[in-house]
Amino acid sequence: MDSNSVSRRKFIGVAGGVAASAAIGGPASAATKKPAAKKPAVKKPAAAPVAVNKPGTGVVNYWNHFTAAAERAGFESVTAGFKKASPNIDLKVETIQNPDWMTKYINAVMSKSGPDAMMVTQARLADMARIGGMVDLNARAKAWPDFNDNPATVNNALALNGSQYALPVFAFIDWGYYRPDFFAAKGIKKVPTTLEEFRLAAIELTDPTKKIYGFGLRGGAGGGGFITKLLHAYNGPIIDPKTRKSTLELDAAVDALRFWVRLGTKDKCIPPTAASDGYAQFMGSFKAGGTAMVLHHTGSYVEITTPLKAEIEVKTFNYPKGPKAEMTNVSPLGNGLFKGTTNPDAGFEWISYWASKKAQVDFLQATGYWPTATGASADPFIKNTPAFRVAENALKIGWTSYTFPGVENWEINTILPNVQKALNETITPEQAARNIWTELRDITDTK
Amino acid sequence: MAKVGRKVGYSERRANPLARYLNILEGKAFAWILLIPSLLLVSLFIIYPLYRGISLSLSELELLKGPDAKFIGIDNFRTLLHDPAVANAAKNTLKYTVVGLISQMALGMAAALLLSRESKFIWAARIAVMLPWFMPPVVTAYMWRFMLDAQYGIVTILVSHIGIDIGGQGIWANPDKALYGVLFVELWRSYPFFTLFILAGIQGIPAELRESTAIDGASSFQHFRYVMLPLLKPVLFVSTILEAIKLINSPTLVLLMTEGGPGDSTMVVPLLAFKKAYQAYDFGYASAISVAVLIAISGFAMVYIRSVGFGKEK
Repeated sequence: MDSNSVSRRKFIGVAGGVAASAAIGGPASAATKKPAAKKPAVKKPAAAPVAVNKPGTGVVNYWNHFTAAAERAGFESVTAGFKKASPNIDLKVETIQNPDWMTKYINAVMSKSGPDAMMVTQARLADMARIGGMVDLNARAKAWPDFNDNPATVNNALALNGSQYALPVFAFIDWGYYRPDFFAAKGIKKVPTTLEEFRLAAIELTDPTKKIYGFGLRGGAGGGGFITKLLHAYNGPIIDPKTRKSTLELDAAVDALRFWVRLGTKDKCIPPTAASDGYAQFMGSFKAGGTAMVLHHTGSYVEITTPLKAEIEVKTFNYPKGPKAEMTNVSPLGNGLFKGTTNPDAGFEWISYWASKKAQVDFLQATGYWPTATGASADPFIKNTPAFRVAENALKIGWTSYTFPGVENWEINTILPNVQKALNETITPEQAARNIWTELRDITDTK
Repeated sequence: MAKVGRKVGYSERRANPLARYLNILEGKAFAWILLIPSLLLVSLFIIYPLYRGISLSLSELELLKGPDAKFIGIDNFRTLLHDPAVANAAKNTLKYTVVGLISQMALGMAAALLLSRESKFIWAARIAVMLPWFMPPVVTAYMWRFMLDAQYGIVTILVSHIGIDIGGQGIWANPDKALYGVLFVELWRSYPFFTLFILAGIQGIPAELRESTAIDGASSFQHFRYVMLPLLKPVLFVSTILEAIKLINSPTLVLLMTEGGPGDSTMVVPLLAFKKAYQAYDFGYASAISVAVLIAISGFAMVYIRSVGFGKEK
């Protein structure tokens, strides 16, 4: 039923696209019709782009979900650069809170009235594409000279079934922050590289009398993603890339959950509030000296190093490795076009501008978000910042995020509540693992 | 000239053209014509969405499986009856509504009685009491979430000086306390609603009644119990039913403060429906939950109206 309905929609899209292209007749118009434009580009991969995209004019409505101060500052420098580069385009920005994102997106798709361009995270890509509302950018991307400035792995992470749905602008590169001064005070010289070393260090760094905990675990909003990474570290890939079925072993899930929950229930090396700590709480606590280690990504570097002195009060480290695989994850974020856009040329001009090296570097300098453009990593900001050596290593060892329909809901509404219950000891880690394992099999139709 | 309300006879109509128009104006057809815009608006904004909601509740529509709805009869309602998540959310919603109503009404009444006194600067106190009600829920939610933070919350720190310890696991991470934490914030935000209604009711009670009961030797409490309370009954009825509907239907504070957690300890029915629709994309099941809430609210309203005998002459 699933594939049938999507096939039907694709068929209608193809038929509509072919008819429209035939009626209008021009190659530029064909570039805006998704399946009709996609096919020739796929059939002739070796051919060099014969045309660049039409320059746009007019208004582009753009949806983003930046809320942090550093993100807003970085975004302003990108939009200022775009205004200079494309003065004939009026970019109108709408910021939507992350929890409201899919509500607004679904309403936009249903009412066929939404933005021209929008932000797309890798975790949401499959859901957003399946629901409809995203434009296949293959033809435009191939005609854009800078497309291959981004590595193929990064571009492919924002593509599904051969359709490029977004152009990458930066990547969430996992890394952790630790307090070298706290480590020195406890005489710990080695930064943990495995999960077990990490646990032992967290225990050692904990001092309840001073209200210092070894690890700031994010068990509230946004904490589900860490468990996906942990499951990967204990199991290896949890989804078969070809069949898209679950490959998660129940035993591995149990071991992973036992490890995570034990940090709170037995080792007591995480804050007692961990089950409800979201971004503001777990980052706030680290900045205030309430925790000695946290796991996050490069995007918070500027925010963290504003109150804490880099290399003296805060250093970065790679996520500890699990028994079966790395926990480190690399996940690009991109921008795509909304299906109902009335101004695709200008929309593409905007998203391709931000995917360019210059805009990515502007954003990096304000935030720390890692640029995906190949040349951008040679920027002096990266070269002269020792912390970024950890990010470079993460790029070598990290794996790209899972993209399958329902992944975000699984993380928010299955993983998170079960882990919270286990942290509060209302269920056992084994029960939590079984619930998580079962639901993953259900949503991936794994027998 | 013919008076409105009296049927005009044929000869009179012939004699007076204005009378003909009056007849038309009094006719049923004209009344229906006047009603058309309202009926259209009601159909557009109430009947059609209601029909769509009920129709969706009888369908399977999961956006990740495709955009087409498939009629499945009452299957969603059968599933709902045996769904432990719904049972847990219903229990929390009931607790949230009952505790919320009682606490808000009690505080609202106390505030209204204080604010009904005559004083030079009473207007300033009235504005101050109303302020939480004017505040956007997003601001309220985040403000209290931080103020009640277990480690750094200003309220936590202040009350610790008088021996009350809400540190440690705090309110938001504790499954036994989190719902009451949200209820406390809901009380702070919504009691002015009751205050406003009750204050208006008190100001409508003639001052002479207090003088009469005082002459009869009634105490302040007796005056309140036997004179004011019966006179405030219609006001209390309307405000209670409006607030109950709001508490049952609105997941805003819970969504913003706990997202239903930790675990599912603060999951309420409308939040569950929201999550099913916009996170699991299961619009059929989410609609069934919403329709069940609609039926429950209608049932509650009917029982409540009957039990208090509202609208009946005594």
